[in-house]
Amino acid sequence: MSLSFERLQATVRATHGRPGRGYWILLSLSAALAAWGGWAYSLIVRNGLVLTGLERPGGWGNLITDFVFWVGIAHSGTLISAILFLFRAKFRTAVYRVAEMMTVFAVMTAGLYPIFHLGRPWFAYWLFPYPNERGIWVNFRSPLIWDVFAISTYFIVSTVFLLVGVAPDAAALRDGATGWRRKLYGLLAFGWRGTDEQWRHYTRAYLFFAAFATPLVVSVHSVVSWDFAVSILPGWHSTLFPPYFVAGAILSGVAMVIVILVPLRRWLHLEEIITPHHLDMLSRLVLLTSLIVTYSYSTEILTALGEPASDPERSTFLYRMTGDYAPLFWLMVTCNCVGPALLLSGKVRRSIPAIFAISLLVNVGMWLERFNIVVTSLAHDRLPFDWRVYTPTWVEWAMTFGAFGWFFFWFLVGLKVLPPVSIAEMKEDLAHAAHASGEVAHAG
Amino acid sequence: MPVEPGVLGSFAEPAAAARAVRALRAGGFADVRVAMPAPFPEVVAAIGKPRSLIDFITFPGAIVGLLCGIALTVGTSLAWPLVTGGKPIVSVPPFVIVIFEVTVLIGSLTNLLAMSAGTWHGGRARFFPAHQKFNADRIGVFAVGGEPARAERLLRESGAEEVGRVG
Amino acid sequence: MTDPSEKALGRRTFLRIAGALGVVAGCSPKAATQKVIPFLVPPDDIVPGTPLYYRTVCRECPAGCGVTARTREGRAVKLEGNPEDPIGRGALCARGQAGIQALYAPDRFKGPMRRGADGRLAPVGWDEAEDALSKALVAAREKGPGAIRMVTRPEPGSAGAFQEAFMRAVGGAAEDRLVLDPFDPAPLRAAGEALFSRTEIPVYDLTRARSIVSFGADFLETWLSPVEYARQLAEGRGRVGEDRTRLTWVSPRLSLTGYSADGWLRARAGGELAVALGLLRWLADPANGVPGLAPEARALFPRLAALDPAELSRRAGVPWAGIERLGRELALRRPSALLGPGQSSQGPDATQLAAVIMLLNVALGNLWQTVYYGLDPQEDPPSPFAEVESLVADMAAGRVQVLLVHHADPAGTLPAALRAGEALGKVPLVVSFGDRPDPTTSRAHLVLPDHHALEAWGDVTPRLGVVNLCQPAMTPLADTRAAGQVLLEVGAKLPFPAAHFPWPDFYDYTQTRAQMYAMVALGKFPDLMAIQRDALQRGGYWSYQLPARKEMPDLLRGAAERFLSLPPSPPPEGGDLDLVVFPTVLRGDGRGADLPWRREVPDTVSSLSWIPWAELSPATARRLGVATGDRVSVTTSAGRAELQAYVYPGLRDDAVALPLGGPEALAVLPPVRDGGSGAIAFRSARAAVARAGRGKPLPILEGSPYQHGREIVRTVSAAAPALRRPDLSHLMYREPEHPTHRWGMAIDLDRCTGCQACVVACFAENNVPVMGPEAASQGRYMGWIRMERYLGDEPGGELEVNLLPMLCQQCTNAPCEPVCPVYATYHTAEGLNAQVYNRCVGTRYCSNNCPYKVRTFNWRDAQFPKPLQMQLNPDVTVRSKGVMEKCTFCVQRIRYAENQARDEGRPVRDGEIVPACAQTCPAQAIAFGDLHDPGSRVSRLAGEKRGFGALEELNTRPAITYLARVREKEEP
Repeated sequence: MSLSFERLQATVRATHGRPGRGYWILLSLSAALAAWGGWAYSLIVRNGLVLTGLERPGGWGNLITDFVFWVGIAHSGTLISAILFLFRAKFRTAVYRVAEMMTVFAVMTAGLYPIFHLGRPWFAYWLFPYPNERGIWVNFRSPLIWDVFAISTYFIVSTVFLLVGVAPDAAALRDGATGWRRKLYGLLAFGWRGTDEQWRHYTRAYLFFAAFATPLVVSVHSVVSWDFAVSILPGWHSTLFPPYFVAGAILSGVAMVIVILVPLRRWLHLEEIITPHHLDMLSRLVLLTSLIVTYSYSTEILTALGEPASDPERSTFLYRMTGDYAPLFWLMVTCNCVGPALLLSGKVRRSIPAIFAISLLVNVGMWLERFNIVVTSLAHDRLPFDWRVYTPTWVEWAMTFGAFGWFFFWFLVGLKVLPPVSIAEMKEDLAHAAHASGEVAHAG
Repeated sequence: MPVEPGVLGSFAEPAAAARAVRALRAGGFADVRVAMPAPFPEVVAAIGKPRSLIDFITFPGAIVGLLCGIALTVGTSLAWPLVTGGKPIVSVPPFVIVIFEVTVLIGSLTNLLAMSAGTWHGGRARFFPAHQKFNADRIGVFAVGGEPARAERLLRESGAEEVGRVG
Repeated sequence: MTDPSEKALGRRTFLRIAGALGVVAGCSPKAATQKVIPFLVPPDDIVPGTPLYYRTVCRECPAGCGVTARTREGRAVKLEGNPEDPIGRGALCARGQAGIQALYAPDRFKGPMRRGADGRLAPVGWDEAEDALSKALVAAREKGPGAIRMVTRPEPGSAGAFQEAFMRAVGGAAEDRLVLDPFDPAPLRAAGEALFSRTEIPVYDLTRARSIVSFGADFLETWLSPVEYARQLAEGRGRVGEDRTRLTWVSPRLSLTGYSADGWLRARAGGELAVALGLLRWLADPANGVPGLAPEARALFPRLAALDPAELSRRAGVPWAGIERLGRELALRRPSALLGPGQSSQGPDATQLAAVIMLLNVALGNLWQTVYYGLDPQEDPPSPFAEVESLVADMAAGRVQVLLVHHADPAGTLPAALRAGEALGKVPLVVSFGDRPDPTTSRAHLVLPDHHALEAWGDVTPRLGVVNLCQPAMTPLADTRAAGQVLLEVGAKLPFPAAHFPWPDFYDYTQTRAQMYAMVALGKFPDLMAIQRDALQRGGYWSYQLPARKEMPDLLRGAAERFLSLPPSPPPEGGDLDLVVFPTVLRGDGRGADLPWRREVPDTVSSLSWIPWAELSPATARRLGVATGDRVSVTTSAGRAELQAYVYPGLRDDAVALPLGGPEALAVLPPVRDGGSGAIAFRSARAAVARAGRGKPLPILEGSPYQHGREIVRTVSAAAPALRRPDLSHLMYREPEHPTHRWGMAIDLDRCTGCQACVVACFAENNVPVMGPEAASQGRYMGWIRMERYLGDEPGGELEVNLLPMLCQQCTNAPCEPVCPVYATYHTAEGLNAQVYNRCVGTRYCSNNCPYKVRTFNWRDAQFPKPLQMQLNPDVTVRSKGVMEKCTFCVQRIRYAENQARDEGRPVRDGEIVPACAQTCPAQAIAFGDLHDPGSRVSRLAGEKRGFGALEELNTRPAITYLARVREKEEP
């Protein structure tokens, strides 16, 4: 046990040091990317969705794909921080703060798309129930309203969860900090002093947050999956969707955590805190969820192929595998099923580059999965006379990539402001480790 | 906030701090306060305070959320009954989803309020000397009132790094 | 002197237009920027918000259907058939519906124009223009006879008569006035002349025919009187078994008319004649013992016996068995009607084909049963094509000084090989009365724009005993003048006494003619004016009845024989494929084919809009390495055209097919004439087709034209008259209540011909925007009804064409409704699937979840270039960008009728509410009404055994019941 409280605190504070050139380059790149997407969107607002590749029957395309993708990314955070907290999974401590930050910023990204893809975005507020002189409310039977509630609740709760977790660390950092940081941490510390009374309420409340957040994680992506499952479109209308989507979300989310952590621990010198062991644990999570996803794929396809030849469901799935979008489908299978399967071997799990590559591919694959579900089903509806292939325009691609800019911009800012690991919980763990090994935690 | 007289000892090890707390309480010190960077279980156990009562605020909060959810969904649907897709005006399954979300939302917000109140009460409202020191790596044990000399002795015995009188 | 129509309307009409502008402002997207001029003195016959109807005539084709023009606040907004008119009986075809767009066409001439030295048309005053014309006429007359010529569309009525008078007055001969109809059915006239010495177009009554055989005559699209014949065919349809009219289509290409046929005899191009002769031979053959055959036909057998069946079937390109089968059917099912030739079968032997077809009618005793002579009014028939050629020759030779062009387009509607365009260039003064630019007018030196038919007085006599009156429905939009009026005024300026006509103005002239009609139609009456007012209100003078038997002509002795031998087959030169050119409803002969609706609405057969195309059979396409959408070059001895290919199984492998109504087909037509009548031989060329590279994305509607075993469009037969339908009795929720009405529709697929009239009517009634070719190629067609056309079950499988007019099904359990987050669409108490445009935020979820995909989304703001916006229906909002829209069963008409009923304190009557699509359907295939009322027509139809719902297994419970098409593989 080489790490001590001081070292820990010092390492964490070190991450907040004056940013180097690399940081600024990344930040401005992200900002530029986001700006590009924003400009593309402004074109749509001015000229209408005519600039997209959408048509009839293809009413949804890239933008909805992005929405589902980012909601998925948003899942790992709360999963790791809440569910693993309840399961007392120790390895979470080191990584959950990054995951939580990721969650909040991912929801911030996902939340944009439902507005982007509206025909009349300036009326987006009509989707919220508020008393109005027209006396008309919202249609609670519509999955899109469930989305509104699920996403906004998820955003608020996970933000609160993040900030509550930050409070003690902020207090710890406040005392060493100066200038605006001191003010900021003072604010984030919520007058935290770490007295036993405070801890007494805090630990209890934290447990409740975890208890609330856990069903929320499951519900949010189930709701998102209902956007499709509730419809009667072949390829969408499936009772399998909620568990299938939740597993997929966790898969993509955890993969994203790995993709972010691997470079992060290098740049921020967190190798001691975020160890290969943690990454191994995370990649096991990837493996598990990937297996669930693979199972879902096969279930869907096999049930469809069991139908008679005239069945639209069957025809839709055959279309996915052999039709205009077939290459994307097989790429998706490779990324989501074949790649993660390699993690079965411990050698692979211990090789950080391998984990990184696999996770990166998983993210690509998960985007493609959503694209496959959204687009191919619409393109191959019940009336063959209406079949039509949808291809995204540059505007849609700009908005897709712009989202990554937007996300990483906030994430990079967050890194410099918030402690990327939970100091308090680390201390707790360290103390116990020390206790167990009879060392004195602070000596060293 | 008035400065309360007492003896403050600072510890490096949770175990030691816990020992001190127990000793002090055994020694008749009714009010022993601790400040620490993390909720070390042994210390918490040593203090032996009952579990927080936040439950009794958060749970009702969630119930309120549930009721709000029901009121919102059912109420607004009945306010202007519009048939969609041949489904009943009050269609329970979809409403349950919204009700659940509202429950969680309002529940966790009340939980936040409750916690803030609790931590304010346990922080600003309660005197602890030089608490800044104890957010980083030291654990502070503060024995209020009583005989300072005895408190100092007990603290030293249980392995305090430094001990000082307050007020 | 001002135009009579203006005189007749005057101050009031100014106010009408003022009001109209106001209303337009009200319904146009940018209302705030427009001025609303209020009525100072409200005109007595205009109540704002209530329509005013005028009866007039459709001038889009020579059929001459009566029209009811609906006007609102002084402007015409919608054309509908005149229910009292014996020709159209209240129906209009797609082109008729689109006619109103010519009135508001943005490129309409705003006033007289003259071509300046710079070669551009510049506005001039009427007096100046008329002076110029009169001077030119005087000068031209010096040049001797034939220097002054006129080309006009058929004008069977005042206009034509007055033109004749005028031409006489300026010293012209009869043939100096040329009546041009590119689709002139001259072979029919020639055949009548040869067989009965009756130079007439016969009239058909298909209602009595039990079997119909059409030799390439597209009588449901453009041939003679399509609206009338579609109705007559439909009367024999919509039932199962013996007494259902059978139709057999004989042609190399399965056209829209062929879609209504029960059998298709795939005769090769030009093989129609061999088929007809084969039929005649089989029927006349005593060996077959056909009962009740006309003796004169029997007498022909010795000559017919000379024809070798094997040779006939080789020339026809169909097995002899097929001809025998058809012969047997015709022998049994009497009376029948054999029709033809049409443009696609009008070849060098068209007159012979027409004659043999007529002989078949004679042989089967169809004369007076289904085929009638003696109804052709003989008014202003098209001139023989030889005269057209001689005129072009004279023009080219510079013998023509002044050419007056009246709504004819020699440069744009005649085969390019004729070089009419060049010839026009040689004429010193070309005067066009056209109201819009076209290839001819663009070569004119003087443009004297005529009124649109909806602004003018006139009359049309399409048939003996039918006089349809033409009256202004609104004040002329621009500074136009009735062509007759101009001639009258020019005549007054001429130094020839004969040209000083007694009538003060053209309106007066039409009135004197009208008096004559009134006398003829109704005998003498004390108050002729009252009769005329009544006639104007009803739309015409009708004393139409089918002639007596004795008026039927007899076959001239020895007239038939010369038609009974096969002409030598033409040498196969020019290419390896037969060139088939065919007319389509929307393109017509090319005049007005550029009107937005006529281009935006997809052709039913190819589902292509905006562009011409070249059809190839799958086998041929494979051989040439061509796929749908590729560019192909079609080369004949006459010329070359490059178009995009459409691979179509409904075409013989040895043919390539091009639509008429544009320069492409005309470019490749060689200068070949029909031997008998001299008419254009549309079917004569052979063509070489080669791939010419990849094409732009096609503006095509269809995804896959095959049903893939999904049984979407159902069919029944005498053997199996009832449909198996899913059991939907188990309800998850209580059905929503419909306390008063439950509006529903029934569409009889056995009557529907796919003519697209309903589609255009919907565009006109509901302000459906025209989005252009790019939108069409991106799948952003906005039509609320579309004609889904399925060619069979699987690609390469048996060809079985089924049509499915697809519009909002107004489901009881509408999948689109519950997914809308903002209640922009919901189920009304009367069973409509309402769409609240100003509530819609545009999530497009409703469209995704609609299994019928009948919701259209406004991807951008719609454009209504001025003055087209004046046609917008004030009762229907114009949707903005980002909003979903769809069919509402013409809810505005429902409300209107309901309000009227309420005012009169009575329930709504069945048939009182007629959506635009149902109103205009020539086949009356669409019925609308209250499903709650068991007595209503729609309820009765919905109860029929043929009824089924589209995708009803989804339990959406559509309010539309389709009545299955009846399909008899063999005749029952």
